[in-house]
Amino acid sequence: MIGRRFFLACAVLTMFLTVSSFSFAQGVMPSNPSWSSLTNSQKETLATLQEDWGTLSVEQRTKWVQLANRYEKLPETDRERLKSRMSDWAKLSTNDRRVARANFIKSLDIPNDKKSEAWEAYQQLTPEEKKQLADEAAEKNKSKKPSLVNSPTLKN
Amino acid sequence: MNASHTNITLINSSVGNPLTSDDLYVDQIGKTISRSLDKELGHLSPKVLQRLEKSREIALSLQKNKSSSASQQNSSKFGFLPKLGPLSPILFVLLLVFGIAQWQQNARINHIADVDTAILTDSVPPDAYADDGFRLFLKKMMTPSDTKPQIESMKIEESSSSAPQENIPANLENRAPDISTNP
Repeated sequence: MIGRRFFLACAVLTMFLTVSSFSFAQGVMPSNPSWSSLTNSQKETLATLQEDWGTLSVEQRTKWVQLANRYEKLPETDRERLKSRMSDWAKLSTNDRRVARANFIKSLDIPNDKKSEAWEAYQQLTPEEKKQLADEAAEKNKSKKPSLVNSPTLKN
Repeated sequence: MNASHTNITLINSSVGNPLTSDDLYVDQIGKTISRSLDKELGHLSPKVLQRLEKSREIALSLQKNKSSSASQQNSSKFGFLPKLGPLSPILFVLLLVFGIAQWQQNARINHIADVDTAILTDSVPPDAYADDGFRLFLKKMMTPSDTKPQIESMKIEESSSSAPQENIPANLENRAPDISTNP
């Protein structure tokens, strides 16, 4: 009797986890969303990715669908910014995206206006200066242990 | 004591004495029938024996059907469990692991979607974050130093500088403006 109760509990938990995992973010989505399965709103948001949609992995598609779901809740300025950057972001290599995420998370405590100023200043540097900085950063990264944010498992 | 009393009563009843109670009367009848049946058991005709055997088989088959339908009813409560037999615990553990893995995978994708949304709507373009050099530059700018030149002065210095390029990185830290407002 206890065994049966245990199995039933397991079954209920499994069903809950499976169902909740598929409807985790906002709205239920297919496990491998094809372009035709997207809503009109999602298609409109992800229009720049339509051509490459077939080449994206299941995880990448799922992530983009989740991102499209967040899009509607963003302010107008952020929407425009996101749309204009989406295509370039998708074209970055997996490793570049991983580095970008790690660097973004590390710089979360820096105010946006300071980051903008720094970016403008950085663009004024010569290619040689930039290369020296990149080499120095690469040297420092070599000695660092992988962390949660820069681990190779963060591939999407 | 009771048995002997019953026997005495029976003997008495056979000679016409009144019975002491109804129960005793029924009991007496049963015993009499049983005794006569036992006595006639050896003299049963083959036809009667055959009928008895047939009746027994019918009774047994009815009993068997009843018990099997009862067990089916019992198993229908848990449907698939008895069919799987000893594999059911393994299957459930596998299902559980699959469910947890799915949940973790979706949680991870959800987290990445959050980060990507923030990066794509940030004040700085994503290319900047993909550049480890910029990250180091930003870090140096945010690090308080003794000399605190402004960004403008650095730009002027860069544009008018004729110094050899190999000296620049060594001076970058000092040249980088301190725009830190964080502790």
